[in-house]
Amino acid sequence: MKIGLSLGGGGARGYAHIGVIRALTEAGIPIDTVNGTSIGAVMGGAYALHGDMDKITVLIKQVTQAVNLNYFNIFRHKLESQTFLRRWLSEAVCDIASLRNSVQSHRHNLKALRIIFGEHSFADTKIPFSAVAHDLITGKTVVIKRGKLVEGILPSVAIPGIFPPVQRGNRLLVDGVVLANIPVTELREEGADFIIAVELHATEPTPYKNGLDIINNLEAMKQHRLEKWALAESDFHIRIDFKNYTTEHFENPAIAVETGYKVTKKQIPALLRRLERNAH
Amino acid sequence: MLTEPITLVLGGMGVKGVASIGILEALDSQKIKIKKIYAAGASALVAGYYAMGKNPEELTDRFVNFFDSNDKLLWGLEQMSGLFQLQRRRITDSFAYFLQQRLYCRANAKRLSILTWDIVKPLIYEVFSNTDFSDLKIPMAISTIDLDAEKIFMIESGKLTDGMKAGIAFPGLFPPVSHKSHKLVSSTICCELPLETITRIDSPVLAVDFPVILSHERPTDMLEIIARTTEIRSHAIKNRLLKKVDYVITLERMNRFRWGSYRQIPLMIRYAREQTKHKLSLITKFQLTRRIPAVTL
Repeated sequence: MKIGLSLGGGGARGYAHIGVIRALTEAGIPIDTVNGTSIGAVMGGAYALHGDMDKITVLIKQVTQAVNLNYFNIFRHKLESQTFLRRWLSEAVCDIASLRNSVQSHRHNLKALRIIFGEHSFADTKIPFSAVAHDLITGKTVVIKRGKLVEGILPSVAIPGIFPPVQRGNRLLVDGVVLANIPVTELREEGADFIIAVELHATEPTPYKNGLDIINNLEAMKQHRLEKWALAESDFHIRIDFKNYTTEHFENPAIAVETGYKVTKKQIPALLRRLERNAH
Repeated sequence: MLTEPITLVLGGMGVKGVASIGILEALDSQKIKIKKIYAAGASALVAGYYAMGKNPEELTDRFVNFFDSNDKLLWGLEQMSGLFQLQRRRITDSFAYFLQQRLYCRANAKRLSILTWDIVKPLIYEVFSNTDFSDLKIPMAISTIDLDAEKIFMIESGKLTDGMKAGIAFPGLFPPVSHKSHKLVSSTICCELPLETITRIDSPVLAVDFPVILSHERPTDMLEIIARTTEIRSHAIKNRLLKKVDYVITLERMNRFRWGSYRQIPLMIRYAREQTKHKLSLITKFQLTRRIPAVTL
């Protein structure tokens, strides 16, 4: 039986994947294949390449020291305190910004990915690994499993609107979050028999103050709808709940790693039972 | 022929929902009995009127007049739709783009919605005045989203006017509607058709689908990218949910209309009527296969 690990997206919350993998390996559960979307692709790729969680922790520390991964929402208005001119200017900035294809460039992403993956390619990984992205032209999910790891994982972290889409031949690739934030179906197609899916889940409700908040919340609701369908196809579901740990603050991995480890540790007995049952 | 009474599922983005007038006419002409209607968006207005036992055709002129007399106020649609300004046409191509463009970049950043209820309210109250859901001759449910619970909420009781408002409260365009301590908006932004709550009890279910043409084929700017992402998701959700429906009628001819094409309402209704009739005759022909496999990207 081939055991697969499908790691979901969720920005900085993805540090939890390190804890999850540590708990699984400690329990002696063999991971035969791994895939992931967005941060899931980064952590999954790191595990597939290095195999050693301590080494990955060191690399992540290097990344947080060398790269500023925090981005700021340029649309955050503080209209009350602004004069007419300031407001007019910020609107003009937004207008100009909307003509670009993203808020940020891939500069920091590339720097971070190069620290973790260097010049290695998919062929160098210890276990089969694939990164999941989305092609905006065809509207379909794309599985990347060949070439340089840095180049393969980059499209998977290109959150639409925040980072520029990655052009590859006839494809315009963005983060797989569009349709497959937890790429269970995609891992099944890679030949996994038993899939452990890891969901990074926010517990607190998202308040809304304006129309943009509303449509963004609804977009998240659609994403959850699609995730629910994907999770239903998995064989075991690990849900990591986060409180007050946002997706965009990358500077403090420890809490997320710990959360991932604890939650998974608790679920190990149930997972072992399920594995036993499936083996027969 | 569909002999047993069916559950009808109606939807459609923006103004396109009005084409349900033609769909209901076609079903009536084939003497198909309806035991329940699920509606979302503007199709709720049509379905509600029909469920009251009235002829929805009577609504056509009302809608046409409404848009004609309010075009300036309504979303500056005249300019935005690009019906006269071809270079801005793409804005009405996709509802998601229109919304984002309006909400991100203009003085709307702080507001809950671009429009208020002032313009639309009189029309709804004129048509439905004091009617209650319990007065309807055919039971009906209007699909909305509860903003706090982030879940689908079906309105099946209370005043029809409240239900109608919530049904067409496209988020960002209209403010959310309060209904029994819930804050509701239209569910069309997630899925054009109200399929989420359909169960086996509703069988046989007939859904009338307007196929989606994804806009911004090669997105270049930020808003186009976000708009396309939104559309791809809605499309995937709809296609997945359509699988649990017994009969799907896909009206490909509706492709030429956009969510804001209010000038083409009469044509829209005619096309919907003709194609529904045609597809119903196909259902009769392929009765054995039950489902018409017409749902493709």
